[in-house]
Amino acid sequence: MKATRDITYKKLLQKDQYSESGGMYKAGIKVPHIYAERSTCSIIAGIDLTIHYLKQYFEESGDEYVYAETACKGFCSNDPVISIQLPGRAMISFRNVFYNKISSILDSILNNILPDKSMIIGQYSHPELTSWPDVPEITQLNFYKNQTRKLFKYAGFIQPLSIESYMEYNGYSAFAKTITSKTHSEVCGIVEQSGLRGRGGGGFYTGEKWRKALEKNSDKKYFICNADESDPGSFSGRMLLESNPHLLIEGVLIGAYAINASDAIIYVRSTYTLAISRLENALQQALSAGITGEDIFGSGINIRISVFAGPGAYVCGEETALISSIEGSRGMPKTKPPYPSESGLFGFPTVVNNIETICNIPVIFSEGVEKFKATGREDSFGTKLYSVSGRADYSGIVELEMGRTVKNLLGIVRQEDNPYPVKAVHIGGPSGGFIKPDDFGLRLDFSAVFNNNLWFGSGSFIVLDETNCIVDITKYYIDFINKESCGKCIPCREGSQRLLEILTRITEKPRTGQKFESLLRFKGVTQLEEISAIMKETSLCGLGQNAPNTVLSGLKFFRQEYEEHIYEKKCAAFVCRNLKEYSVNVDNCVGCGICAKRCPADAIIGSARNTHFVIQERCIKCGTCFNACKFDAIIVT
Amino acid sequence: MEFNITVNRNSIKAVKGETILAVLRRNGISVPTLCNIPELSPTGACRICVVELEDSGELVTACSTPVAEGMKIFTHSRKVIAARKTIVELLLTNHQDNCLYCEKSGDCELQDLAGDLNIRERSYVGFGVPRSPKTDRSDPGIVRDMSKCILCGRCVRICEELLGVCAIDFVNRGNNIAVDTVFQKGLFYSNCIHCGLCITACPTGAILEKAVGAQVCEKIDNKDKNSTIILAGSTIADLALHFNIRKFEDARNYLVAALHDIGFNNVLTLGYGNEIFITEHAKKLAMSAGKQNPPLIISDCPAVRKFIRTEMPDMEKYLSKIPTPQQIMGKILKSGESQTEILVSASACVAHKYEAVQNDNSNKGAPDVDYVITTRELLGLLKTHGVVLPYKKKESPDKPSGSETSAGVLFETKGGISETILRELFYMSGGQKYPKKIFEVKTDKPFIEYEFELNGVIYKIASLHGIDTLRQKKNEIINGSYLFVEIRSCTAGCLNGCGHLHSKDPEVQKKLKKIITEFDETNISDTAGKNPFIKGFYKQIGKESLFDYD
Repeated sequence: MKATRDITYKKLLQKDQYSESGGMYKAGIKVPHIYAERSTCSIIAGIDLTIHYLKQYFEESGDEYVYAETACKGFCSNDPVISIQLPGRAMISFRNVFYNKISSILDSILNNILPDKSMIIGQYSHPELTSWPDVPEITQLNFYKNQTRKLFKYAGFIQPLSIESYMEYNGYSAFAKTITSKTHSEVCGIVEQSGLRGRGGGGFYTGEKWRKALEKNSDKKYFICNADESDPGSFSGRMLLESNPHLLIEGVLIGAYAINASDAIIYVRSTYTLAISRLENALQQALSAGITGEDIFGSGINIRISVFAGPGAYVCGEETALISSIEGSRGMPKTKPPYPSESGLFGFPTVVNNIETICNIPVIFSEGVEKFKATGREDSFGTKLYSVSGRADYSGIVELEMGRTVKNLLGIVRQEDNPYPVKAVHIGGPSGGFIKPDDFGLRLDFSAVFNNNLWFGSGSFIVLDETNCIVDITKYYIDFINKESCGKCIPCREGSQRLLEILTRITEKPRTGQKFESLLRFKGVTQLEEISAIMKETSLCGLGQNAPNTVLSGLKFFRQEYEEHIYEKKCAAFVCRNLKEYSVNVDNCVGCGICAKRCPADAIIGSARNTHFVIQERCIKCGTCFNACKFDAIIVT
Repeated sequence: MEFNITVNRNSIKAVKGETILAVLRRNGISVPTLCNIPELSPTGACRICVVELEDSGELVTACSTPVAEGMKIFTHSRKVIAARKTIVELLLTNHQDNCLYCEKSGDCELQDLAGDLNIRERSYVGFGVPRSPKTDRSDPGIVRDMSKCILCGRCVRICEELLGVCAIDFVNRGNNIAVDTVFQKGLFYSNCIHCGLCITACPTGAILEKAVGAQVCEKIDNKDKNSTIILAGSTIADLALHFNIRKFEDARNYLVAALHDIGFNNVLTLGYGNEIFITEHAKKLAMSAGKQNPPLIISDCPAVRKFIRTEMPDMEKYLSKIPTPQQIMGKILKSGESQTEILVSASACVAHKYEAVQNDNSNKGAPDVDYVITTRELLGLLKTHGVVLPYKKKESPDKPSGSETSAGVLFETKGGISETILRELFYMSGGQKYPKKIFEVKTDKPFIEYEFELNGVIYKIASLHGIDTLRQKKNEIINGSYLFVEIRSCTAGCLNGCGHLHSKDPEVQKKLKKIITEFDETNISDTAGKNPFIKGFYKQIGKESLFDYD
């Protein structure tokens, strides 16, 4: 054990500069190298089947090849992605390689012929390798060119299952230098200087938090990484874990050393099975390499890291609830103070940091504070990860310098010639809010975001266009909050239920016969604001306090859409099903009866060759008749 | 460290480490609370106690926020009142409106709060689906109607922090959250010890004792059947306090007369059962004196008995197997020459309801005690029949409990078991002058030890109250070489049993105790052995002791 440790240590200290030739696209390979970007996103897209056929292809042909598993580079709309490097040629990547396409791609590329252009993403040129003609450089693609990749710099190159692969890219050398040459206080000092702020949403200064925990005298301290990512629409934490688990481990090691904690826990939600298996594999490798565990590098310092698979509750992202969950009790937030840095897990001083924050730590220590502070602006330094989804042309992970505008980000994920204009952008998950097109100049940094009553959350970035209904999306988020609230405090538990009821009422036509139904719909909007204000002011934890943000920003910027729902009982985006009304255009109807035959609710009547009619009371708004009619005789209003 | 804080523009003193609520309460400023129980840790769940910070305009909960120097707060600003009102309105949206039919009506904290905040209409109209319409009726003593639950968590915390039993906890999340037992099977099937502390904790009518008053009325109207009611001393004292009667025996005699008029053929007091319980144990101890190691655990508390059986099975062998006084009376009255057919027991205890349906407390399937009612239910019975104390006449209790000694009543107070058994031990050993008022003085301690010398031997006994204390002192009890240990679940003995009218107020405890100690002081026959009926009883059965479990 000691011998391995010393070897690792020497190896790590020798590595000063990462050489571009190291890592993935090496010169001088003898057989074709094939890399599959295997992550949860690509597994869903079907990469496992692609890999199966790929291996079968080579088995049948009997050719020699090298296969390696990497992880998604963040360009998720391209999944599944397969990269191929032939001896002497530049590496080339293919998009959407489904199982039925792999053999044709291999057929052509192994014979040095480029397959169909639409399948090629691009290539990585290298001075010693021959480039493919007319193939764009991947680094020059719009999606990658405008990003500032630090956390995701090596994603897709590093093999997440191999510690050597991480070390080739200078991995763990920052930690090796830190633990042997810097005191606890110096490490805290460096993080303080870097001005790193928590990426979990609150934006607290990480260095300050660490300093408080370091100064607290205690026999035992805990360092916890919060990777319980459960915002709908955010997946950057999962991608970090899947693409480069060692980066997180290195960050955790530095963090635990900084506060002098001998135990560190990585709290991952249990549904992230691939992430957990890769993380556990990485931890095992780090332990056998002597990087974690007892007496690291002969310094006498012990840092034991364990993985805790969280049972999966949104509220467990709140630090006190997360601590309760690890302690084995119900994940419910506690009142602060005492803060976890004074009395946290099992009553010991504890630091809880978000996964993205921790992944920034090795970056700061390897590139230096100066270089780190060169990105970002004013009080927000470094980069921020955004999980882009919705009506974006390119969805996936975008890593952007702090302080770039929403427009910049949209420029990366939207094609310029997209005919549908962006109606709004929703950031920050259930606790976040809408940004309207006039505000797309908003700089995405902590002060600007907080000043606009917004919230980074875990960095979800959802693009909305005319086919999205603001009220419906708000309803979705409130439903999420209502289900995921721990149920402890009244404003959050009851308030979210009331909000949901009001929003449901707005998105439905008043059922006839109910006396106050119309009045309740009108009262709705004023009550939305009233309840939201109370939730914001009196809720126990951040979940409840930020829950109404979506409602409030929606009401502020898209009030006319709410009014349309209430007064005209209309949803312009045709999303709110219960506001739709299907009727028959008398002029077009030929009386074929197909609509009546298909209607599952027997809501359409009429005799053959005569005009048919929809009985509104029976209609369940499923839209079957609309799709069935060949004469455009069904109209939706 | 003392400093000043400003409350509603007045300066008041505060000590570092206190919560805002504690400071406000000490200075007589009232802030409404719902989830707060002073002796338990604050959770800040209900948010009713919010106060406004003058500088930031922020609302913080008074119950959980510690005071800081220079803090300026408003307790009743417009903003605060509006917030409180909205919170209660939100709570009321899916709460039932049928206060008229609720047993807790008039005593309900939610009702009071809504009244105080002047809520006169249903502002928010929900979809009307009750959160958890389930009612748990599995337990013989406790009914939990979850549609009335406001999820303040007081029952959960009192069960966890004060008792350490954790029979109930929150289940589900979000709006589906509910308080339930393990695997949601119901209290009877859980590790609940049936003490009923959750009843006293509940601010609404969600947790109540299972009311049998109506059934009792029905049964006693049947004149063919001989009905008997047993009144516990603590119940009599509680009703005396309620009706402002100073003397214990007056209250007892009024009650006996009133209950006779209501229709009970016999009205007895539990003191007789207590005295047999004392005598039995005194005899047992006298026989085995000096050989008791580990000690005999004496408890008349069904909650403690169940707790030891289920949670500390290794201690069960030390537990005295003599039934509790209620069941002793049940056994005597349901057998022999006594003609009792319907036996009702009125006591301050909810756990007695559970005890009465246990298998070993029945004779061929028929329970010894048919109905157990709490003091609250007895008061309801009296109210229904228009009885107000002082009643028009006085009658003494029927035989065999006509001439009860003060020991039978003192028995139910904190330390009463030890005190009365000690008296009897001294009395039996030849009429030595026995020490009095040993356990009375140290009222606030949960664990009291006492050493005494009898016939030249020094003995040690202990009196323990509270399940949590029992858990802590387990090893001390086993290894402490005590002669016997008294254990009860309620912190002030049966005087703050969970079936009481006002079991929570410590001031009331003192007054109740005073009524009983005054009765003890004025009574000459002050130990069980001095009761002629007890002597007569043993002569009649022709045995030294009623139970021979050894």
